[in-house]
Amino acid sequence: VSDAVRLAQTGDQDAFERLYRENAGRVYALCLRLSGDARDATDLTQDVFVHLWEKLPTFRGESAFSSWLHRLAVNVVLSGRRSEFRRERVVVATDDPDAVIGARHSNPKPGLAMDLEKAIAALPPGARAVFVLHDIEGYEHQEIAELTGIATGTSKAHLFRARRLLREALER
Amino acid sequence: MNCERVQDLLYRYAAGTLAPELKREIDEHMAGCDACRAEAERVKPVLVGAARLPRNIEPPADLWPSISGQIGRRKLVEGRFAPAVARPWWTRPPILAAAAMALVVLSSTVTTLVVRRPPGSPAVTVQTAALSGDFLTLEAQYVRASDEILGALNQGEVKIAPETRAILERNLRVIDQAIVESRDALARDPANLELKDMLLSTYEHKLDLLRRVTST
Repeated sequence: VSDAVRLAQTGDQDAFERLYRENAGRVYALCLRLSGDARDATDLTQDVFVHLWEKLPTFRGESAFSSWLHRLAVNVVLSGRRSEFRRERVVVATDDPDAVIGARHSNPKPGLAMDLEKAIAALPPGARAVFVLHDIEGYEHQEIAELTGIATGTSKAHLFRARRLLREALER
Repeated sequence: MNCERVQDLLYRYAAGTLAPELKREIDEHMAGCDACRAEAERVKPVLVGAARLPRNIEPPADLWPSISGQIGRRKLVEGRFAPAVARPWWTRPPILAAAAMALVVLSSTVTTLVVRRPPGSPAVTVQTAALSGDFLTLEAQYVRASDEILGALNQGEVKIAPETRAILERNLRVIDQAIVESRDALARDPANLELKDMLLSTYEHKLDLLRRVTST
């Protein structure tokens, strides 16, 4: 357990800010891809760090802090606490991916990566979540099933569909 | 290594992050498995692209002042935080309402999936019209189309190699299990358009697999 983690566990906000600075980019990228919306990702990132502050005393160092935080972030996003925000934006993301992607990166990258980001944002929510967790973040289907409450077979069906939709989107 | 495991590991294979032994096992499997090799080729651009996406994206603004303000108002709590929900967020009512809206838009688009006719089997056309209003008809069309190809296979009208058939059967078991689970979920929540869409997508997947196997 690093010094910053140990100090933050005791309530040291300066140490906690260091943890934020070190991990904000990783958490925001995850929130952005899972939610498909830049504004939602900003809210979710804040939620993740507020939850981290509350839960940090329970971290015992059995796993790497970064892995533990990552899992916590996935739980926060999947918990649907901000489903009211997503309600409209899912439709927007589906209908107009350009509008979504335009707001999501201050420094957009051209070419395939940008096309892929846009296509991911335009996926149906379930397919997007499984694709991001499996093919970007490296979770196994069994882990995704545990995190989301769906069956592993359903997770595989979502993934197959997501890959097909993305392939078609990239070919257009 | 079986097809299912190969498919699970494709993203790491494409990203080049597999242990050498695993990579060798997949290479050996693909050398003798047309279906897996073809699938790997199809999804390669997606998986290679996914592997190259940046893992860090800085938030558009510094969120620390807001976070600091929020945690400053809260006590440090020793207790555990609320557990992850049992139900995924995309199946919750507000998200389903959004999905329903999206599907209403989609349902105005009429597309036709023409199934390539495998040698010796009947031509099949599935009309994917009015998705939200004609689910049962569409489901019946997919089931019939798949059954016709399976029937042609079982009656020997279309011949495939025994190894290919074994692989096909393993894949179909996974797909059929997903169909059963989706249908069970739909039975409990018949108005769920996201589930209907996912179920139709799974039928499409099954039909596509059968079509590809019998047309080679």
